Amino acid sequence: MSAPLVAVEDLNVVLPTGHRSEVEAVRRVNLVISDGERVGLVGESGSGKSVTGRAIAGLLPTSPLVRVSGSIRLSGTEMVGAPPAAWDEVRRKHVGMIFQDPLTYLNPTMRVGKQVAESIPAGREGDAAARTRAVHRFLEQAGLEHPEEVAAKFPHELSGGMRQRVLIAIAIAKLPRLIIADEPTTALDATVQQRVLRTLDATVSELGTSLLLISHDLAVVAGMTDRIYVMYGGRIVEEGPTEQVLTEPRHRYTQALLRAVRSLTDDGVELYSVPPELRRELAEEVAADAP
Amino acid sequence: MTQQVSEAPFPTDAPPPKPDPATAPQPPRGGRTATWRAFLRRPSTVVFGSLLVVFVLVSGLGPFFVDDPMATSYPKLLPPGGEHLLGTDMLGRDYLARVVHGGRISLAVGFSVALLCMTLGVVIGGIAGFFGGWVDTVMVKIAEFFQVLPGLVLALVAAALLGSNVGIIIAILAITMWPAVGRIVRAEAMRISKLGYVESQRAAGFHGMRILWSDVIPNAMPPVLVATTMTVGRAILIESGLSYIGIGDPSNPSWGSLLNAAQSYMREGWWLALVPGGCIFLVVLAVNLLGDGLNDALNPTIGRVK
Amino acid sequence: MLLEAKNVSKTFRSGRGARPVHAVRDATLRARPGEFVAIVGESGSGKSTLARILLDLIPASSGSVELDGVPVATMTKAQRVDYRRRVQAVLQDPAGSLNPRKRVEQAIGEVIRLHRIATGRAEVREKVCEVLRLVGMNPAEEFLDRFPHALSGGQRQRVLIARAIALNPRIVVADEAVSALDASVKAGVLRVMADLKDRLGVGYVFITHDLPVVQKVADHVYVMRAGEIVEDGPKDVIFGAPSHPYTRTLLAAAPVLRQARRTHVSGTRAKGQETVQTTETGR
Repeated sequence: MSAPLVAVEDLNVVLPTGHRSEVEAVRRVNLVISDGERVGLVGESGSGKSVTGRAIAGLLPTSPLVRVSGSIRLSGTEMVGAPPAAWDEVRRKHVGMIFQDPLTYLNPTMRVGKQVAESIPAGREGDAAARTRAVHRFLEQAGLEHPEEVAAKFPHELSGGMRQRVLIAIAIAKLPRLIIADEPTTALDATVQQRVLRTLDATVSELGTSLLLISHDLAVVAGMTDRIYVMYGGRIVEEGPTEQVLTEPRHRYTQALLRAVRSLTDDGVELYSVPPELRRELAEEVAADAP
Repeated sequence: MTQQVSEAPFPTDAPPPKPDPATAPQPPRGGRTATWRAFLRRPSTVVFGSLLVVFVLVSGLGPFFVDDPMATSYPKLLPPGGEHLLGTDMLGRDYLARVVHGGRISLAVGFSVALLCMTLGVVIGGIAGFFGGWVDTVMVKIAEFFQVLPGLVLALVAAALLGSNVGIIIAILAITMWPAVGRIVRAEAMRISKLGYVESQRAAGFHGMRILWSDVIPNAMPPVLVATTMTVGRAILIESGLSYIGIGDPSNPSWGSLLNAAQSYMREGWWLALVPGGCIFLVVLAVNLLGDGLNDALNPTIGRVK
Repeated sequence: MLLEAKNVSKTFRSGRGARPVHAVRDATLRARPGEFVAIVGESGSGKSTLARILLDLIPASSGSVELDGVPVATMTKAQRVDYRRRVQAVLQDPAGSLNPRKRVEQAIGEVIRLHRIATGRAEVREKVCEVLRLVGMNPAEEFLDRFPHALSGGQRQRVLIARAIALNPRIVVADEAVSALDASVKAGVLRVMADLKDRLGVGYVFITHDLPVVQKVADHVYVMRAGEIVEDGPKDVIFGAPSHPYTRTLLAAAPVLRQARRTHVSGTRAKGQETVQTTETGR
């Protein structure tokens, strides 16, 4: 067997939080994504899930104050400490990203079609006409009707759901081996969210791309993934097949989280939030775990 | 600082134990004193703050200790050293005395103009941006009127009518320079007026002026402070320009007038230009950097990643 | 006490030539103390505009907001102050609804002073602590000196609720008060709100796009779409037998944690991108 698509071992990320203060945002994280696998990364805000996702895409700020240690291997190639050019290559060809707020990731002064076209690696589609056809195909694949019209528009002329689909189109245009979606539908209305997720689901299946879906919303991750990692306090507290984590959670935090999520939707259950004692215990655990 | 977790108590269920710096709260600061401590601890504050204090003290108290700046009783163009620390000028006056006296004028002009500009700018810009509508339109027109007023002509007219003294120079500079600050305040006030907390204050029943004073202006201050410190520098420079064309008090030369007078003696008396020029440069630099540091320290959300 | 919006409409005219936007059309709504009223709708449905009209933050183009039959527009100054005290707001965006330069004590204390619920430094402080405890921020003294950025999202939201209930309001208008929070924190804040309803008889006008939450806590539900209230009724009726098709669409889309759901079949993945997926409407 060849090396897995993504193998993260013992990843630590230290980020600055202010003048002379820093935080260990990610601690000793181990994570594996195989070819074609869909993996979920769940955790509340501040759990380190986004930082982990960004680390895998090499998108952490390059500053001496940001310290990454451990190992991130993409198809067997060690990327921690790799030169920026190597990361650029990875992001250009192999990893597509989808973020929560599409407006900040789309160039407001450039037509959508051009932005998708820029994502297609040079030389892959031959002449200009072929590229344009490819752009339309990707937009269509991302669930946008009338791709010719959409391609000619600017980001602000599109609705939130459509912008998110444009981001999906940009991500798949590189025919990546991995798509990292960080809270892709959090800013969207429920009906739009459902449609965007369905599109993402369909495109990922169709291309056979691996997916790392990062979200605080267990319901979103549950419906989209084969395997789940649960993060808390910068650490992965539980990992397993989605179904198993949902039905037989082993870690106390996962149990409490599931109970809280269910208490918001199930009838006749009292509203439940993770008890402060458990948070205190977990915090102590994290502190004790520190080297 | 990496181990805030173990010390921080979690009395409710809300706080995450390990903050993601992108979204996480910073460790709580002790209080107003801590903000100032953070400001005063910065190396740039220490260096440039002391520098500025030295300049202010020397300009404020120096005139009591140095010679008469107008006395032409020494040899001409004596280089620095010995009896005359900064040498003498082309008419044989003690240059140290002239620089110290000049500093008094330059600093007074710089700081007074900046303070006046800030006050006018904050009041007028704040009201315009916060209330909007016709109030805004009127205030913007007023600002535009003052902005297009040619400061130089105004200064000449005022000098002809009222005579030229430092007070008039300060007034003219403030009148023509405040719109720059006002614009910034207005833009900030407009932005902040749309934020949730201003709406919350309205819903709580506070009246407009109170919200403007208590919620809008304090949050609009960081860019205003920076602009104000810039004004200090610009006022000092413009004042020196005005002295050059003869508006200003010839018996009270500022650094600007010293610099201008030195122009014709660049080869024989390098120190004549270098000293006042260096003073202007250092003061402007110090004030700007302090404004920058103050901005960082006063802004409680600064330092976040993202 | 009864807070009513009677046939309220709001039209925004933006610039020359632009078509006027009908943000709210002919909306009628009632809220009482002790009752949890929810307005649900998607973004752009006009629900936030309606909330701001209810709070008298923006005037209605037509129709009126009335408190016990007295239109807000015709209120005397004293009546208006009373209205401001009895109808409180908890607005969207926990990060932006607190002045970043005011500590918790000042943020809550200033409204207490304004409405003269308490006077004197010690008394105000005691009142601030009291409401902080009410929303579950214990020990309250711990939070007095904190700036908003030193609070977590859930804590900020609780401070906003504490600030609102400090004035003993009868009705709290909450606009997306919990939407941005994590599940566990959301449950905590909702529990506080439900608890205040039971103990103090506070009524809520709860504006949200989050249907599961509405189903959990609301008594009466209004469904808004494109500025209009398309359906309203007791929660059980709306969720049990929705009559408007839009309500049914909303209900179907609500994300609920299912035990497991595998939609794609691993074996049938094609590496090529030639096969074009049947597209669905992108809007």
